[in-house]
Amino acid sequence: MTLVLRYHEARSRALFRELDANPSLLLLGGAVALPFNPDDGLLERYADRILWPPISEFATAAAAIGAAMAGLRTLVPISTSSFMFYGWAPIVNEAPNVRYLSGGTVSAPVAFHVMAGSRRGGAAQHEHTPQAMLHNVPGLRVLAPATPADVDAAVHGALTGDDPTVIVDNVRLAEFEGPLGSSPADIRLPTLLRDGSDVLIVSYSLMVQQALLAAGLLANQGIAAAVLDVAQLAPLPHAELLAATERHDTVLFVDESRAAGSPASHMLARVVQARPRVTARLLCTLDAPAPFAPALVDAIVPGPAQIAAEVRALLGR
Amino acid sequence: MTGPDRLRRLAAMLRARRFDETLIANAALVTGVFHVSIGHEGVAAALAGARRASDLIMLNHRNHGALAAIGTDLEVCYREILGRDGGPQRGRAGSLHLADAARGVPYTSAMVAGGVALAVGMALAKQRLGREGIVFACFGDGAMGEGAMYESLNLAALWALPLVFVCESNASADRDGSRANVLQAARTLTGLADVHQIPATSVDGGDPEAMARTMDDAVAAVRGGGGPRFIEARLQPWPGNAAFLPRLVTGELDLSDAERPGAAGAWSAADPVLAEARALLRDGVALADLLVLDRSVRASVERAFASAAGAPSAPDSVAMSGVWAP
Repeated sequence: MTLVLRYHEARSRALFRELDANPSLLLLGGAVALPFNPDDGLLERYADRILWPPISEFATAAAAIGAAMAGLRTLVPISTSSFMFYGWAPIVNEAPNVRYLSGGTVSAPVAFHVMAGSRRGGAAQHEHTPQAMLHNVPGLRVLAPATPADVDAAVHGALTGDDPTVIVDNVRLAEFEGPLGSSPADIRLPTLLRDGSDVLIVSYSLMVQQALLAAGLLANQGIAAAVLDVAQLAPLPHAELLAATERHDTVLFVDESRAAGSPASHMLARVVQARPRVTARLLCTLDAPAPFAPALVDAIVPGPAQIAAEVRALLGR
Repeated sequence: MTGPDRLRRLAAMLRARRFDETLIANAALVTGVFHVSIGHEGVAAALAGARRASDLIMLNHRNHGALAAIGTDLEVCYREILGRDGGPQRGRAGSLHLADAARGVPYTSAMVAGGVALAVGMALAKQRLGREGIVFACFGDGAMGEGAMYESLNLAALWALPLVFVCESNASADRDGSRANVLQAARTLTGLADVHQIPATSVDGGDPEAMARTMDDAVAAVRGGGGPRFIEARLQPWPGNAAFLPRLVTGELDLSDAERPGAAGAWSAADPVLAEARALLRDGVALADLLVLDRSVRASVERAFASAAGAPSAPDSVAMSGVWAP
């Protein structure tokens, strides 16, 4: 029987499952769902599994990495993604080097969870998309779930895998519903969430949900849009991405990051290099810091209407 | 300490010194920069004497001396520094990231204070998992300028972690413990540990016996569950350290100088290896015996270098292996 859950329910279910499965798993902080998503009871239910560090992102991130090397797996809920910048050095310049420099004899299996992207009202310092930086660091696994099934797999993969992993989450995914298959699932390969023969929209995280809404708008106008969800940004599953895009000659890549160095621009480059005759476009957040006013956010961050408009422009319809 | 133990300590210090001297003499074969531990041998020997197999050690960019003292295969180290195939690192690490997982050094960060913050987590793992052993975090006084250092002191103290902070203070430490300089506003480094309620001791790192006693006391307290300790090892900066490659401006160590007080310059007076040799002579060990030991260490170091220099590079495929888990 297929289980249908909201995204935040699936995330909590997965987290509780992993905490139950691994009694030594420790959380360094407790802000996974709270304060932005509904209270899932984590703090009460697993109080003894949460060590609350002071506001000390560098040492907390580094401690999580050092603990991983010494056999203790932790999840670090960083909350707002820009807080990660205080702990940036260990995340991008220690954790991803451990396996490489030791020739595979030592690993740092640690998980970081961040709330990235435009959550509304966060303004310039609280609505970053660090995945565009993180996916450029070899050795980090970067997961950006879009659906309940994705987040189930992401939490499982991050908390049982052997790589330092960042789950790039988005507070606005919380209420989206979706089916879960057998669980715990493996980290998902690119998944076609909606089929359609006219155009393929490729994205990840919240923009997948926006693309699905856009596909609904386009269907009303007689345009059949398919939507591909790429839940793992690094290492990018190149072969599977190419296989999943080969049926379409018109592909739109959508990303909430700014365009330069964005995961979608990387996907576009891979697809166009393999198939030079494909018609491809990139739709990203425009190059400005995040503004505060909702109307100004909508002016720079892609939503369903902009995605649909971009598809029509791409098809000349 | 007994005579044989002190001879072992001198052997560890000689291994460290001869390793670096041989490397400097062959610096033309090295690509990029490297850092030597000349002048730090007393700290390295104290670390080697205090460590147990279950302990973990975070070193830093200046790691040769400690690795030599704890018994790491010197040929593997040379191979790595020369970018040749050999140990598990196979030319991916170089001098900056030399490590020896089998001896408790799983990874070496070359970022100033980077390894200290990682050591906090290793100590947290020891504590939470109830595992044997403690963690050593070795860093220079330069790390005391990094915010990561203060976050690490704070977490280690708050969580009462089994961690020894070992500050190898070699830049500007002076002999009376005051630090009126341009790098650190605090009057003493130990004071910075003290405000975090971490018991701290300042010791002359050029005196290997005092260094070892201080290390052993701190380690005993940490092993006893007393939470973290902080050691400031005051070291005379070796004049051969330079921004790019070190130069052997003081010449090669001559252990016979231990019998000729005043014959050499200010550096020889502060040289921890000579200090240890002098102490052994005072205890009645014959200089000839020290020279025999030295010749043996030197021969093994030179053999290790010659073998490493003749080793091939790793195949290109190694550059792309070990990035992500298979």
